[in-house]
Amino acid sequence: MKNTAIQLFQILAVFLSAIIIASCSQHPKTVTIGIIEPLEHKAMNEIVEGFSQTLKKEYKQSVILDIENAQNDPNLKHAIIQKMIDQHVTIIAPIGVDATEMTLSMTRNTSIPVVSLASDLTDEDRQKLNPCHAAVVHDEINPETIIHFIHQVYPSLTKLTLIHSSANKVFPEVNEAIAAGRLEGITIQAIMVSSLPELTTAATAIPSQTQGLFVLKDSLIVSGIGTLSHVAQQKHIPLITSDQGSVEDGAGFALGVPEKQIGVEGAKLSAAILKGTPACDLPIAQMKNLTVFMNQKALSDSQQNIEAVEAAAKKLNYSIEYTNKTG
Amino acid sequence: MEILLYSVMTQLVMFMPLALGVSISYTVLRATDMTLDGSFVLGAGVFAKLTTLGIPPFLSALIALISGAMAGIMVSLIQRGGKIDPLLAGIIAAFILVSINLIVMGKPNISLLSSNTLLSFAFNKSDLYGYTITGLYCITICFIAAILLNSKFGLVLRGLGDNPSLLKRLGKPVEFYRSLGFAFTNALSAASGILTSQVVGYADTSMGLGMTLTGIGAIILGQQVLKLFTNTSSIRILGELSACLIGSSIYFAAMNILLRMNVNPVYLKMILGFVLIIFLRAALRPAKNENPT
Amino acid sequence: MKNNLLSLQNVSLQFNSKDKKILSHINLDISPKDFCVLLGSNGSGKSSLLKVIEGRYSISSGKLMFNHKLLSDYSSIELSSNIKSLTQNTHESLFTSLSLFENYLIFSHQKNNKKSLLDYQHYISPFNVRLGAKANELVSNLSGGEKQSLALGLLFINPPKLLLLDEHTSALDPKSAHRIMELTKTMVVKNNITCIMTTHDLDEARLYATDIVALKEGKIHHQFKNRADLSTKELLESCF
Repeated sequence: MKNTAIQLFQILAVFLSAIIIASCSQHPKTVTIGIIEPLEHKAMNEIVEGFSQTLKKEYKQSVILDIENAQNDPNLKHAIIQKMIDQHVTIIAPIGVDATEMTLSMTRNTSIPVVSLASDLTDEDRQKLNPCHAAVVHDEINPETIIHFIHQVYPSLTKLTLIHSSANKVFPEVNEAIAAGRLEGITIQAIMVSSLPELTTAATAIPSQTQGLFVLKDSLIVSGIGTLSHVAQQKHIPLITSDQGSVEDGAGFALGVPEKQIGVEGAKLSAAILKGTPACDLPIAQMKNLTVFMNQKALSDSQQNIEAVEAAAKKLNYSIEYTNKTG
Repeated sequence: MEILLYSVMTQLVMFMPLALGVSISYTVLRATDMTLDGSFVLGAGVFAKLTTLGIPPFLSALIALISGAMAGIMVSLIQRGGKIDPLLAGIIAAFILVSINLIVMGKPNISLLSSNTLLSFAFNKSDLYGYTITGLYCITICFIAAILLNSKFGLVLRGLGDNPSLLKRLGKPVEFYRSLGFAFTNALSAASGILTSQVVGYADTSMGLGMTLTGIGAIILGQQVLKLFTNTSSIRILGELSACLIGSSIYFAAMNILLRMNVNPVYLKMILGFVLIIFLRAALRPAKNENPT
Repeated sequence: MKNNLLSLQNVSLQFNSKDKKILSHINLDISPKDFCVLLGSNGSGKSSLLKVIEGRYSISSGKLMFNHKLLSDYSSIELSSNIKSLTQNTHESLFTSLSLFENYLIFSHQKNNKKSLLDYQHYISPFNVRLGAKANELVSNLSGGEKQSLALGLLFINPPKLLLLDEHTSALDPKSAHRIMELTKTMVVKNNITCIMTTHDLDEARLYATDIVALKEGKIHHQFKNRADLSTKELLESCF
C-alpha cells in the first residue's frame, strides 16, 4: 500500500508540473493561425504546404502556424479546437467538413474568424450562422466542367459509363453529370455500387459498347480504382476521374484541383482577414485554376491518345501535371 | 488551471452517459459490447435527421433514445442466449449499424449549426451557459441510470452478468432481461450521441469510432484508482459512477495537458497507454481481500 | 402401484454411439421422503445419474418419470422449481460477485428495504450465525463452509420436491462438512423433501440414508434398504 501511495504521488507530481508548464504557454503575442487536420493523409500535407507558402507571400508580418492532427478521433478534435480557442489564436483553419462544423459550433461565442478549407459550406449556410464568421474554400468542381472537358478530348465519344457509390452527396452530382452529358451529346449510363466487393462484380458487368469510364469525387470508388483501371486497359478505353490521387493510383486522367491549391486559396483568404476584411465579406473561393492530372503510362496501357488530352487541356487553359506511378 | 478544468468539463458532459453505458456493459453485464460505437452515431444521426426535418427537438431526442435501445435489443438477439460470444455479436451489430446509420442519415454528415436544438438557446448566449445546460442534461441522464441500477431491475442484471444459468434456474426470463440490459446501455450511448451532436454542431457516421475502447480504458483506469482507496462493496453504485467519472476525467485531463505541452498528438495515444499501464500495475499488487474476477 | 416420486426404467446414457455407455439399463424407484445415497467409485456414473435426473443430460434410451409424468414433458421452469441440486462448486449455486443480502433478494423476489434485511438476518441465522451480520459482504469473501451454508439456505427459500446433492460436503473440512450435513438433514425432514445424495463417505451413507444404491461402471450393482444392519465391510465389498 505504501509503494502504491508513492507511485500515485509520483504520477500526481508529474501531472502537476505538466499543468504548470502547459499553463505557461497560454497567450502568444504573435499572430497565430491554427490549422486542424482531421486525419493523416498526403492530401493534408499538400494543403498545408500550399497554405504556408502562399501566406508568406501574401502577408509580410510573421505568423505562427499551429498545425494539429486529430488522428480521426472526435474527442481529440474537440480538445484541439478548445485549446486553440483558449490560446486566443487569430484564425482557425479547419480542413474538411467535420472539422469545419465542429469549429464553427465551438467558436460561435468567440470573435475568432474561421477559414474553412475543403468543405462544402455554402454562402447560405454561413449567413445562417449567428454571427457569420467564416470564409470558405470549396474543393469540388461541378460535373458540367468535367463533362465539357471530356467532350473536348474526345469529340466523337457518345457513350460513357459513370460508376458511383451510394453516398447521398454523390446523387445530385450524378444527375448533373447526366444532364451535362446530354448537352454535349454524350449518353451517360450510371452504375451504382455500395461496397468494394460490389465494385469488383460491377467491373465485370460494364457494357461492352461503352467508350469510357468516369468517376466523380467519390471516396469509395476511388479506393478501388485499381479494379477499374484494369478494366480500362482490357477494353482500351479511358478511365477518367475527378481527383489527383486516383490518377496516381492508375486512372488515365482527371480534371481536378491540386490539394495544394486549396491551401493557396485558404492563405489568400487568411491574409485578407489579417489585413482587416471581415471573414463573412470574403466571397467563397471556388477552384478556378483547374489542373489536368495525367498518368501517361496508364493512358498508353489502355491505348489512349496522350496528345489529345494535352491539346484539350491547353485549349481550355488548364495546367497539366504528369504522373507515371501505377499506384 | 481553470482553463484545463473547463476543457475537461466540456468533454465530460458529452462523454459521461456513454462511459456509464460502457461501465454497465462491462461490469454488470460482463460483456464487452462494441455496439456502443454504432448506437452513439445512431442517436446522433436520428436526432439530427429528425430535427432538420422540422420535428421538435425534444421528440427527436426521445425517438433517438428509443433507436439506441433497439440497437441494444438487436445485439442481444444476435447473441441468442450466449451462443455467440458477446464481443463478436457486438462487432457484427456495429457493422450492421454502419449501414443503418447511413440509411437513416441519408448522407455521411448532417449539419446542426443552423438548427434549433435543445442546447442552441444556451450556446447562443454563451459557451459557459451552453455547457452548463449540457451538464444538467448529462447529470439527469446519469441520475436516472443510477436509480435504475439501484432497483430490482439492476440487481437482476447483475445476477445475469454473474451467473446466468443460476438466474434461469430461479425462473427469471434471462433472455428478456439480457435484451433490456443491452437496450439500457445502448440508450445511454445514444444519449451521449444526442448531446455530442448538439455541442459540436453535426452528426457524422464516423463520429463513434473508438468511443467504446476509450470508455473501457477510462473505466479500467477509474476502477483501479478507486481500488487504491476503498475496498468496500457497500455503496457499489456510487463506486461505479465514481470510477466512470474519475477515469474519464483522467483521460481527458491527460489529453488536454499533453496537447497544451505541444506534444504531437501522434504520441498521445501511446503516452495514454503508458499511463494506463502504470495504473494497472499499481493495482495488480496483491491486496488484502483480493476478489477473483 | 407404488407411489413413486421418481422412476427410472431401463435408462441408458451414451453421448456417442461408439463410446462406452455412461449409464446402462438403470432401474430405480424413489418414493417420497426417501433419502437415497448413491455410492460408487469415480467414473461409476453417480454424477451423470444426478445430471440426468435434473434434466441437464438427455437420456439415450429408457423412461424417466418424475411424479408420474415424463421428465421431458416438464417445462424448464417447472423442472427447476421441483428439482434442485447442490454440488461442491458453490459458485454454481450463488451469485459470487454480489453480496449475501443481494443474493437473498434475488432468490426471494423481495424488494430492498429494512424489512427484507431483517427477514434475511432472521432467516439465514439458523444456517450459520455469522451470515446475518455479513449481509453486505461479497459472497466471494466467504469461507467454503459459509458459502455452502448460504447456498443451502437460499435453496430452501423455495424448497423443491426433490433435492440432489452431489458430494456437496466433499470440499469442506470435517467439522464444516458434518455441520452442513446435519443442516441438510434437518431441512430435508422439515420440508418433507425427497433426497438423492452421492458421497464417498460410508459413515455418512449409513447415518442418513433410507436406501443405498451402489453404482459400478454405469450399472446398478446393488441396492440396499434398511441400511442399519449393514457393516462397513459389506458395503465396501459391494460398492467399490
